Amino acid sequence: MKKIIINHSLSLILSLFIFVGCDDANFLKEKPETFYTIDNIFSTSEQVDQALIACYSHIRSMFIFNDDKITFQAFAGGNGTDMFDVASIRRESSFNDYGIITPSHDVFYINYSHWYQLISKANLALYGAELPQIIWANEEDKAYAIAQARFFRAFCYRNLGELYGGVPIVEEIYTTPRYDFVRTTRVETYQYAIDEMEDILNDLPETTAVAGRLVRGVAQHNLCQLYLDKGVALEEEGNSSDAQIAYQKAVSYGDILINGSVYSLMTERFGSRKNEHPDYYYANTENNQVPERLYSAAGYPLEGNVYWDLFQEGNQDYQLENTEAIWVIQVDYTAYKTEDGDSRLGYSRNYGPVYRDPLSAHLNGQLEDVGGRGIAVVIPTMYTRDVIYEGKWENDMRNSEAVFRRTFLGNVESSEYFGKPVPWDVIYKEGESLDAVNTAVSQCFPVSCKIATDKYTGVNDGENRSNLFRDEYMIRLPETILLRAEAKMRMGDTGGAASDINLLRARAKCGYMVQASDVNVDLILDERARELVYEERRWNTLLRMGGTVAVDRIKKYAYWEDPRATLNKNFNLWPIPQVVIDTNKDVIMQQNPGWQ
Amino acid sequence: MDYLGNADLGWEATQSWNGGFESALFGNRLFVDIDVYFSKTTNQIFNRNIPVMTGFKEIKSTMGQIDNKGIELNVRTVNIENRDLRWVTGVTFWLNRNKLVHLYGEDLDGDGKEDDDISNKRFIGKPLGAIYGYVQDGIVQESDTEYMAKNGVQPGVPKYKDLDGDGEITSADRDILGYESPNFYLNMSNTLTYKNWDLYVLITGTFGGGGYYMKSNTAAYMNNGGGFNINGIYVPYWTPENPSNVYPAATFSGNSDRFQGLQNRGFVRLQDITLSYTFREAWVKNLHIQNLKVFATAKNLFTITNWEGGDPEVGIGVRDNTYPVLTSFSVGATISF
Repeated sequence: MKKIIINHSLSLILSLFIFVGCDDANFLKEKPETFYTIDNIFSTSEQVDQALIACYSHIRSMFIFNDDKITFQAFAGGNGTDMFDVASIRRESSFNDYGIITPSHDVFYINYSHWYQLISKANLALYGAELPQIIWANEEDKAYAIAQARFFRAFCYRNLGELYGGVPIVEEIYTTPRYDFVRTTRVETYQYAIDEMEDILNDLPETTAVAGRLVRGVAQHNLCQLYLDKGVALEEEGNSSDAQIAYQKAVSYGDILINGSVYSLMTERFGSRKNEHPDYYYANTENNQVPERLYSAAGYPLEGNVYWDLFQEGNQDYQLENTEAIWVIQVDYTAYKTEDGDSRLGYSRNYGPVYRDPLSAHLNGQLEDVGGRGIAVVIPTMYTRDVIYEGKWENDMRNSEAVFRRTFLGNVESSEYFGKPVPWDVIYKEGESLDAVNTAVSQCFPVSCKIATDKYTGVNDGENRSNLFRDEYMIRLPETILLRAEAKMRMGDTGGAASDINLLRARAKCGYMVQASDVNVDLILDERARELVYEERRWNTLLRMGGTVAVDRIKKYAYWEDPRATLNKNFNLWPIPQVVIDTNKDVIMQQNPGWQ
Repeated sequence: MDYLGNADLGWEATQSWNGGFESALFGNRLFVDIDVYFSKTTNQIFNRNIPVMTGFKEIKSTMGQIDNKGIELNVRTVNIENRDLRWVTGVTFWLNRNKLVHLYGEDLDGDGKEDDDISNKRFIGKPLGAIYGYVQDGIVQESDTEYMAKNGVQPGVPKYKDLDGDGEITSADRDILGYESPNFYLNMSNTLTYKNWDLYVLITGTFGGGGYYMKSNTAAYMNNGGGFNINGIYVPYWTPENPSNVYPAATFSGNSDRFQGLQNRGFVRLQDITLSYTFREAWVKNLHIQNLKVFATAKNLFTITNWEGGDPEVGIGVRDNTYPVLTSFSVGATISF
């Protein structure tokens, strides 16, 4: 009996515990020990400078074709324009089949995001620079930091305007999301960039001792570009008189750089290899790279020239002696080996040919003579290879063997062309089936000194001739000259445009000098291709031309038939990415013409 | 760095009501258990796409309300019970439906209903896990000249329905295509005992239907792995001589934003079959063994499904680290002292 009472009482007491629980609400409250926010993250000027370095690094990642994914192929590599297409082995990344290029295509969202992420970084650096607790060595340092941040932001808006047209202008950093961004017009976007850059011009030094840092010439060149862009956009709107004013301003900024004393074209051989000539071994294994196998020994010597010097390792920085370098992205093999995997130019890999696939009977291996270890992610169209150098255009330093090599000596001992030039009709497999021809023509092409070299760095450390380790030009004076020529052409001054173009052709010792009657949009685009191949962002160039220039050229010069079959609309802008339109739910963003 | 920080993140809260009963009927020959639940979850944590003009692509947010309701039904019958033979069947049925009731609480298009979040595929009044995109309408044939001209495509690529009737396939032609969550689960187990023999068979199934349990399986329709002209797997791809309306041309390498290749993941699987013999003879006790049983088991003997590729339960498609369903056989003995 007693036991039963004890059991019952115990169970009664225990059951009471069911109704008494812990108070969970306080348990779930967070009490963080510390918070890193933007309010306390900046305390020294070096940290603000680090935020600026992040911007430089972001530019390097966007503009150098290292990442081989489809967005970089298009923006950095120029895939899908009149100058570049894809190899037969890479048709899945073609960017000129307009049946599948839609506003939801990855290329547009990723590229568009990259610009706004850089704008956000620039705004953050700007915010940090203005904080009261930062102590600067002097006023010029602070002004220079602010000027660099504002330049990067304006530079993004220049590119956004060229590629996407009018976009929302963002000048602050956000801690909470917004869904009500409003598009401006293309002219307004350009004008914002113009106003920003003109405002900071005097805060940028004319020259600097630190290679890669922004100088005044960078902003002046961009202003020349922006006024030219603005003029074309105004003309598309029908406002010819304001367009002419804009072209005149473009010319005046060009004059400052071209006629001034800071920059000039390199005309004589210079730099680290000025007394050398490029030479290759016709060999497909390293132990066959012996002096008897040199191209010069076989009777096919190459002759170096000043244009070739521009692209040799160590020759790019203005600080060293290159007076045509205005803005140079820094790449360094030592940094690459220690920690900075982005400090390289993956050009031999991404732009390089694949002779060893269809041509293994005559040209095998992955050594210097076949352009290194290429995998043909993006290939030059026949326009880029041959059309721009046809007939009277052939005699051109930029078309010389040293710069754009077309002579390949067979390096397979059993080949009938061993030690002799493999003829191009053999390389292009003329007479064979369509598939064989496409495979050969799309994977084998002349090799530019801008994407490959006869002396690769790091081979002894295990590098496999995929990368170049020279600095890369963001802006060279020839691009300014070509912009001024284009502005003069649009003002009707074809004589002035011709003489500007001839400045470049004289340096390149061309046989044919252009005349005023040759000057038109096609000539400008052709000359840009000759001078700035592998250096300019071709999509920006095509999209800002207006009219039907972009689609006409793509249809005319693309290697594969896709655009000729599927491109039946006109566009002068990339579409606003669909995700951007969908997420901006509070304000409807209009899609660009041709992409609705 | 794609996520914007959110200082307002909080805890999810769920209120649920759960009711049911267990019963034994007809003298322990029929057992029926039913469980029904309703729950309301507020302040659920979502990944939300935001305009990249802020400098970020996504943010984690807590907001909204999701309702879940469901039923679990368990029926067990003792079909035959006598001295030598016993046969028990069990059937289990689960069904869950969730519904997004509130999201951001805005009505910016002024249509009187709360706004959906299209870019994150969240629709008011619909389940989570909605598949949103272009409605496929077979393959473009050579006779579809008007469609080809308006959309700039060649024959052999997937064709989509023009929902707004303007002749062109644009972002306005998107619709909800289905849902990722299953429709219901159904299991049946049978246990047959004859003297010392025991046979146990378990069949499980996860079912789709009604647009449920769909997933994208583009590789099942393309003979290349996103590569071009790679003769990867055999599919009867579209050619002018073989105008398939299911498989696109061999040159089609897919565009991730439109072609979904949805398939139903529903499956029925013979999950477990076990045959065992328990020794109850006298010599077992003499060896001081309490229990001696030998058995043979086969697991995942076969799966019936329309899903192509690997395990439909995991949703592994064709050529996507495609591990098949693992079938295993084992024999063993259980001895306890």
